[in-house]
Amino acid sequence: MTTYIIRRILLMIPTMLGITIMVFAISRIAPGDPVSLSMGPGGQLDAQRAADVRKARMALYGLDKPIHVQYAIWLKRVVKLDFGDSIKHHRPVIDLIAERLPVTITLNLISIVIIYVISIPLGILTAVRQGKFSDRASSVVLFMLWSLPSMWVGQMLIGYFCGPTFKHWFPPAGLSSNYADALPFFSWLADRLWHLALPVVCLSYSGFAYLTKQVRAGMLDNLRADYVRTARAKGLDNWTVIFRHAFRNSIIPVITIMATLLPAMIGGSVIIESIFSIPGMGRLAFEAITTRDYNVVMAVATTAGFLGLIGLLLADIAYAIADPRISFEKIE
Amino acid sequence: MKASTDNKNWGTSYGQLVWQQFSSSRLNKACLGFIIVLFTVAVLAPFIANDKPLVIRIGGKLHFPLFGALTANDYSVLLAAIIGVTLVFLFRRDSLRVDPFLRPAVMWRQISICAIILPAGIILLQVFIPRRLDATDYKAMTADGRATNAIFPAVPYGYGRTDIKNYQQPPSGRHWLGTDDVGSDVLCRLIHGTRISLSVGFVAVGISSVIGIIFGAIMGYFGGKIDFLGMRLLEIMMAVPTFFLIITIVAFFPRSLLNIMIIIGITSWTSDARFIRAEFFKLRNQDFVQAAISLGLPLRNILFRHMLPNGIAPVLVNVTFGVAGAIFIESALSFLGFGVAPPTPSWGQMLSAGVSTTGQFLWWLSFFPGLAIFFTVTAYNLLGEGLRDAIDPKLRKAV
Repeated sequence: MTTYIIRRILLMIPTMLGITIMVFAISRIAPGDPVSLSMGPGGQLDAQRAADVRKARMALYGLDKPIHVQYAIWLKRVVKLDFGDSIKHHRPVIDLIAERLPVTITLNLISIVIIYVISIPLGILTAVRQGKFSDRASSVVLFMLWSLPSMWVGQMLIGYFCGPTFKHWFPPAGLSSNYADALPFFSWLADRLWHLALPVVCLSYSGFAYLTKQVRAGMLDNLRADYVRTARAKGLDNWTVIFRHAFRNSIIPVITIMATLLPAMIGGSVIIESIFSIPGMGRLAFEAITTRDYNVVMAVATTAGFLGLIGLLLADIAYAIADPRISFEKIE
Repeated sequence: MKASTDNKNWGTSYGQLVWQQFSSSRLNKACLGFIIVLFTVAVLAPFIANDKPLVIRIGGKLHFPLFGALTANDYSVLLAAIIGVTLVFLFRRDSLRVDPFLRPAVMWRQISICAIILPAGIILLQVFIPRRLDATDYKAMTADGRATNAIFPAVPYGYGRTDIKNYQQPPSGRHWLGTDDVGSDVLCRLIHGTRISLSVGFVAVGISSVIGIIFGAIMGYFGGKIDFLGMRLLEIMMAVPTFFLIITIVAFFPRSLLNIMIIIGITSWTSDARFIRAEFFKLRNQDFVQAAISLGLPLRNILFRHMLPNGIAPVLVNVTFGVAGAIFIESALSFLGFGVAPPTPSWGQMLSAGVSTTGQFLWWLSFFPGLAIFFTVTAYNLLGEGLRDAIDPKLRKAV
């Protein structure tokens, strides 16, 4: 098992390298370079001097070197977690990320836990009641939840429950109230949960609908299988058949779905964090793009890729634990 | 082309089987109908919502201001729509009259004729139709009696026309879905926004499926080292959360509708490539492919003439879901302010105007555009589910 995990982690290195190449390439393929942007039209300078200034600045930023050398220089800094300074915040980018990343991870972890806790029982229940009214009604509702655009839901929730126009039940922005630091622990926690409630709802409903559908489909496949009929014929009671036999066999796709769910949720947190003004990584990306803070944009993209890789790794490990048929010695 | 009308018992083709299965559900047909209606609205948007009258009599002379104010783009869209509808009717007629063996050849000829007419027509239209700026206020003219017999479209407002006196009006008899913060009619902007959403969905998915099919076909056909390299590339693309990847590219490139389509296209081809790769792995060892190889056919023909038609079904389903995804991503980008520039209406950008800077919630500004996105995305998703059920041989009843 340990060798499997170590080998799996080593395999991540080339992929991570690929991600940095991609991010770097995006920033260099783009039309216009930072020097022309900073120089503007340059009206007063005559052509010769403008060219000289341009050359000097290119040398200053290392843009006069061939592209692969530039990449190597950038990569060397990235490995040391040095993404340069943020233009807007005048601080090292890595500090900003270190500040914002925990917020996004917390938000996503809470949502993932909620998704799994609700959708597994619900999926089993609807599969057992296949064809009955409650099953058909819930699949319509789930389908609609899956297609609901999250920015619409977020906007409507803010409008109806957080504003002066209708109800003011929830705070419209931020992670905590102004006075939160002075509160005792449990009040602080309550305040934090009060702020997180709506964002978590927005972030989780779509994944919840998707996972429930998958659990239901997997359960239906297994409930139709011969071994379930055998188990019933043996005289086992209904719930034993469902949990010990059918559910055990449909749990693997449920785990692998995490690998598709996690990147989608991290991507979705850009929208949710922007709507609810939560100081997480998504909002950092949003602000960086609106202020053209390119160092931050590149750092956030690299970090997001890293997070995605970690998600894939976790899903693979969980998969290996859940399915005893997978041998840890061979990797396909 | 030989039209043999005497023998029509050609049996049912794969496409007909899928269509039978697909259309047996009323929900599928309703979704298809809804999408056709959306397309009609998008094509005819300037005729449904416009502040220029169709016909007006000024000083005893008839004028047709609406037709004069149509841009080359409007005419191009009309031309494309006419050609599309004609093609659909031609294919339907062929399926009754032409022998199945001749059908692909006939179909290709029709498509290639249209492929010549369409760009030529669009180029001609772009060259010959001048941009006229018609700022005449025809409504004021009818109101004070300078003009008579005016016939306005159903929604008599222009999408770029501002009307500061009537800003932030809730829905009423005059403005069915209210007005936004510069006084433009929401319904009118919604109707014109249909164009953006549908075109982004189609072009982006077109780009992504072409890239995905080519990559997947090459990977699946060759296998080995090429496949290994391709899979690493796919892994890299899939590790970065798609939305982060998209906004990273958006950050560096100029924001225009075409760029957004291309960006969505080049970031969402991975699942197409994986499906096609899996299909081609299965097909590679089948007899007809081996026969094609031993006949010495060029690689292009083996891949796209012989293998692709047999492996396209899962991609077709994926395309339908992809359109829904692309429409969603475009609205999300416009919602965040990274989409098309404001005078051009887009659903996501309209949605974001609902909570004003003062914290007021103007529900009609958020509710209706959101509903439009929701219905469109749902219709495409349902269509995808229906298509998957129809194509999946496990579920098809024995015929």
